[in-house]
Amino acid sequence: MTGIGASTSEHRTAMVARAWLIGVALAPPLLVLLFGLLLRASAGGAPGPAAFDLLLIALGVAGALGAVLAMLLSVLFESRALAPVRRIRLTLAELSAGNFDARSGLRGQLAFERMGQDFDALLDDRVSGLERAARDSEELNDSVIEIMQAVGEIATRKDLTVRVPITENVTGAIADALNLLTEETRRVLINVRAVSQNVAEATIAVKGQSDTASKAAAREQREVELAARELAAAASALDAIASRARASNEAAERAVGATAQAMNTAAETVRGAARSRDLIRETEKRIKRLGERSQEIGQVVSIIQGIAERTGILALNASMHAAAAGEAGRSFAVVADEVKRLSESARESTFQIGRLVTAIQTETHDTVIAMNHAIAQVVEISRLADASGQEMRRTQDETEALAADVRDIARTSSDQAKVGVALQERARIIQEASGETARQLSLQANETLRLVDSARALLDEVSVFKVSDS
Amino acid sequence: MALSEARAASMTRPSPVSPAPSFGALVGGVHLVLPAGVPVVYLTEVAVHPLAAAPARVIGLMQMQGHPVVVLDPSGVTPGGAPALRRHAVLVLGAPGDSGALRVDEPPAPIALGDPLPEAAQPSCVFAAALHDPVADSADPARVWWHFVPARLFEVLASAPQRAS
Repeated sequence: MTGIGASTSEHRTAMVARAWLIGVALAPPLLVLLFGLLLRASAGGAPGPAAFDLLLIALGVAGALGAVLAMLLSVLFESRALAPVRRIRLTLAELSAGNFDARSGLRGQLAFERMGQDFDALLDDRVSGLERAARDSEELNDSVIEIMQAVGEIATRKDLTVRVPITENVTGAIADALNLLTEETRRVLINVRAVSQNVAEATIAVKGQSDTASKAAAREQREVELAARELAAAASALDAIASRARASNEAAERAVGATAQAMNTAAETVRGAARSRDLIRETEKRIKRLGERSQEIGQVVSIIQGIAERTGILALNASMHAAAAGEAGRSFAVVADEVKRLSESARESTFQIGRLVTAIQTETHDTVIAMNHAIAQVVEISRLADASGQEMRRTQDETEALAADVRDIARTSSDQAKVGVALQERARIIQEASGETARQLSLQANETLRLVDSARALLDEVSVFKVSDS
Repeated sequence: MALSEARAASMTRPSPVSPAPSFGALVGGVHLVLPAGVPVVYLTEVAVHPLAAAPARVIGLMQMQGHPVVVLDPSGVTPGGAPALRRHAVLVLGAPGDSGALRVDEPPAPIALGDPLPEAAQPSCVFAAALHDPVADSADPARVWWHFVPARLFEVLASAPQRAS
């Protein structure tokens, strides 16, 4: 239920409620009265004090009077209150019919009258508000239209220099925001264009660098492949070096053994030379003693020769005496001749012995000289053998050092060969990585090419927008 | 010849029996035949003691069997009055106590005398006056042997003047 009918119904309901309130207000004293009566009757009819009875009666009467008064006041109040309500209901009906100039026109100080006055004031305020809202709405529509036109121009001409007119109404903030957005977009697009240009240039540069890197990667791959082959060759060469070094080590060890044997031979030669020297010196002494003996023999031979000569002279004298004796000395002459022949034989023998002794002495002297020469030769041989032994010792030391170096070379070469194999493996990995790098660089080149196209497309797209007056 | 051969030859050679040979000697460059019947002794390395103020051909004294023997040098090579003792090969002629000695150039040796050579030229020596009866050498025709008397030879030599130098 709405409108005046509903308000009347509510008024009646309020009135009934008010009557019930009055009845409720009178009900307590009546209840108190009835409660007193009942309490006295329950006390057995015994007489009570008179004051109490009077009080109960007074209270009952007062309650009844109050109820009647309340009924009267309610009727009066209803008759006086319903007129402003009806006036307000009529005003509301006119308003509902579209007469926004309708008013209750109530005056006075009663509640409904003041309510009517407030109602009229409220209507005045609302009507003026509606008129102001209509004007504002009109202005807002104009601003929106202008904004739409500016936005359409921006969208159609891609001209970000176009500005939306700023009004005083609420669209001013929107226009300002749109202008700010447009300006910001223009600035961003300028930056985007510059960045796109830079991106395009950088992408071209990256493309060039990528091409260079691709070529470098390809060259690196070839170089790595070449390095891998060279490493393989180096590893093979190092293996060969290690093998040869081991063979050299074995040869050096054999040389050390041979040198040691040669040293022993040289030492034995030195000792043999020393023994030969001692033996030759002993032989020289013996030969010198033999020479001395031959000299003694020569002396004896000289003595014998002297004896022979003296015997010859004696024989000569005997012969001369025999000759001087004439016939008597004939037999003596025979003896003298025999003595002479003996002396001659002795002289000849001593001469022969002398020649032999001289020959022995000469040969002894020559032998001594030869032995001295032999001793010198033996000493020289001993010195040479000793020197050769020392040289062999140095050779052995050098050979041992050489063998140690060769062992080091073999070990190092073996290690280097292992390192070479590891390097070869790493070169293979690098080669694969280089290949992968080359492939990735190729892909990157393609992507860079696409990026160049995208940057150019972006630049073309951005260039659609006019961001300056020029 | 080897020593053994010489010794064997000396032991196996038969002793020849021949007449007593003559002996000769080279004295002062003249081949002299040693006189027969005169004791002759040949000595080598004889110590000759010089004599002061001796004649020119007297080179000193030697000792033989305890007797002093005058030693003369027919060649005159040895200077007289030499102050020091010298040793010479000498030929002693004569019996001990009556002998003299000659310095010889070579030891005496048996000689084979040939025919006499009365026409042989007298050698030019200081003792030529003591020489006589030259005889040829049967082995060497160019050689001439001269006989001499020892006492005469000693006398001539002792009186011979100093050889001109």
